[in-house]
Amino acid sequence: MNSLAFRAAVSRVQQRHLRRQTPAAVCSLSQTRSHAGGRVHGTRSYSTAGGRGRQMAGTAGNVLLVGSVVTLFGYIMYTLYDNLLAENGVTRVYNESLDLVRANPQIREIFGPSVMGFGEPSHGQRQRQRAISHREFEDDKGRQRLTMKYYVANKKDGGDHTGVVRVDIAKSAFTGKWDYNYVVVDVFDTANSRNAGRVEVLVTDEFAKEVRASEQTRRNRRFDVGGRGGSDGSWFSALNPSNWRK
Amino acid sequence: MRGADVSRDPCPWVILNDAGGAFAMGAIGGGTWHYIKGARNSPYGERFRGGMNAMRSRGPIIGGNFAVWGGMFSTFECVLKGIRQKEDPWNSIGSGAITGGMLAARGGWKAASVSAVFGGVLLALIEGVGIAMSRAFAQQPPAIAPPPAQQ
Repeated sequence: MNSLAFRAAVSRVQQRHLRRQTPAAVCSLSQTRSHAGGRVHGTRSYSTAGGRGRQMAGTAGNVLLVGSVVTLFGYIMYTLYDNLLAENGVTRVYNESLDLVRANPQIREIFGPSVMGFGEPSHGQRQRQRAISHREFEDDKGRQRLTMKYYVANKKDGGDHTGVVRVDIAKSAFTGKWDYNYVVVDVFDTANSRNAGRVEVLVTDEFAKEVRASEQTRRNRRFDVGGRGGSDGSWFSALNPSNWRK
Repeated sequence: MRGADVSRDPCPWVILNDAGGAFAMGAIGGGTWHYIKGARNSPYGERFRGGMNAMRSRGPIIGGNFAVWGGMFSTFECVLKGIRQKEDPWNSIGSGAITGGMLAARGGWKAASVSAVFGGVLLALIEGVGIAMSRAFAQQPPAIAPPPAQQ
């Protein structure tokens, strides 16, 4: 039984060895065995045609697999770059603006030396860090904007104040650089559950000018809409009771 | 003030949680793996018993390894969170790197640094998948009126 198995193994090795030989050698071997050279050539070309189709299908499958993996990997890498390292990356802006907030003397006075920054409350147990609520859009002047909101509190000493940080950055149409519009902190007194005012950590002059201009146009309107409707102060809007001044 | 839930800081307890979760994951996954491996390596008629033996002897070890990784990772993440006072993906990337480095520390500086880079990259990939998933599935928050009242 053992010798039978051994002989089978030997013949398998021999076959493999034959297959690895050059085509000419195989051809001559088969010629010496079958004495029919032309027929051998014909059958060989036929079998390679079928093998080529199968090979191409296999290659296409491999290319598809590798391509999809590379695409997925590239997308994940891009996402990481976009979030962590890019100029308008949410995590990067969060880090920079939180440093600005911490450096502010008013904030230090309210919160003390240790200010923790954190995002929205998480619903899952497995979430590592709380997601920061943010929004990317194109504003009415055609600039790319990114606004975000997160929270600050003193968790070490357990103060009774909580701050809502609002950050707004915009991409300059001229230089293509991102810069802040504002970083403001709305402070809430959680012990007495009342609004404790707003700390303006950073408001750029350009943005302040813009806000003042929009306030001016709002004040100059003929009817006080108070943000209720889309009235532009035209004649028809006076007919709508919601636009009547109280 | 729905958003400002300050009271929920999970940090010391999440370590236990993570270590347990990692142990369960490693024990179940490693147990299945070694059951199949043990069954394949056993002769006919002894497959089930061989697989069970391999699973019993090997599964808990894999679970323990996973638990060490998860527990150390969670500990370092809490430490980083406490030091930086910030919650962002850098915490978990950094703690993955530190964990990898610490677990390979007995192999010398070179092995430790290679392992640290590997751990950091692994955790960065996991974070990237999480960010991409949240970007794909989370709806954009409704338009907030951003301008601050300037007087």
